[in-house]
Amino acid sequence: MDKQTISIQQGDKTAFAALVGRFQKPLFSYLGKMTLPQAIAEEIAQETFIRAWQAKATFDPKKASVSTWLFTIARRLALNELDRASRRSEVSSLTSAVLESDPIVKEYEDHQHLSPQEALQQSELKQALWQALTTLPPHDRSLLALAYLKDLELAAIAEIEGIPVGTVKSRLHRIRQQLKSTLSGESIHE
Amino acid sequence: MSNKHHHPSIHSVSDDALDTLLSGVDFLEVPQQFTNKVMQGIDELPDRAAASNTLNTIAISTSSDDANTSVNTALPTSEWWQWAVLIGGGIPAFLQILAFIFSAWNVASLG
Repeated sequence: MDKQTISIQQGDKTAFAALVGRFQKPLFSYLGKMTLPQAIAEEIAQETFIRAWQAKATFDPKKASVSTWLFTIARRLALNELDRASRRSEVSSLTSAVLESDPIVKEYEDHQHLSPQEALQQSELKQALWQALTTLPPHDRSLLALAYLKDLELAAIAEIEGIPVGTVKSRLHRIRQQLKSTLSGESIHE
Repeated sequence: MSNKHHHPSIHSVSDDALDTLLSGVDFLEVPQQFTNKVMQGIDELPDRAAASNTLNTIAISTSSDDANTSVNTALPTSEWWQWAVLIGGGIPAFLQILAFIFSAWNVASLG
């Protein structure tokens, strides 16, 4: 057990704040690929850390890593949110909420070193990818989002998703094919 | 995708291109002061935690003396006079029932 985990389990809030700082970016990256709007993702991310804090005493580092633990909580919250949204038929509103928000603007900011045309191309690619992701079932979105997080091994993904490593690989292959097909389809239709 | 330049790049998306795209893209930004917001949320927790601890103490079996005290104060327990009332009222009621049964049997046997 590392020092930070011990400190957190002893109730050290400074150590926990460091943990939040360490995992907030990958968590938002994951929730973004789950196609959640900024406001909802923020709520989920915050709730994830609060639940982790509340359950710190029950966390066993011998059984799972901190990242596995956090993403397991986040995944459950995100899937619940997407499920609730779909039951309320709010998928379209979620979708439009994100599309109307700032991904394109942000893309311009991210690619200030690119020419305007290249930046526009990047933005459109990003939007096409986002739309393609929304066509995937939430569980597939989650698996794909986890797979493209840095420093998360297949075994950890399998543990978070509660499936064997072999199934992770085969499902990932299928999801990627579907995504490629959707992206290609978009260009044909347009 | 009105720009013709974009069609081939998406249409002929390769595994590598997809990997690059998915690895590099971030749809959301971490809000400013996010860590502070989380820690503020955690600071506001003690009341909730205390309430939930009390409920847990009641719900789960307890072993320590302190926890037993919590159970005793949280749940209404039977006082001695409640037992006295129960026994004082219960025994005559039971005898009444026996008397009724005996009477009924007696009448039936006469008839």
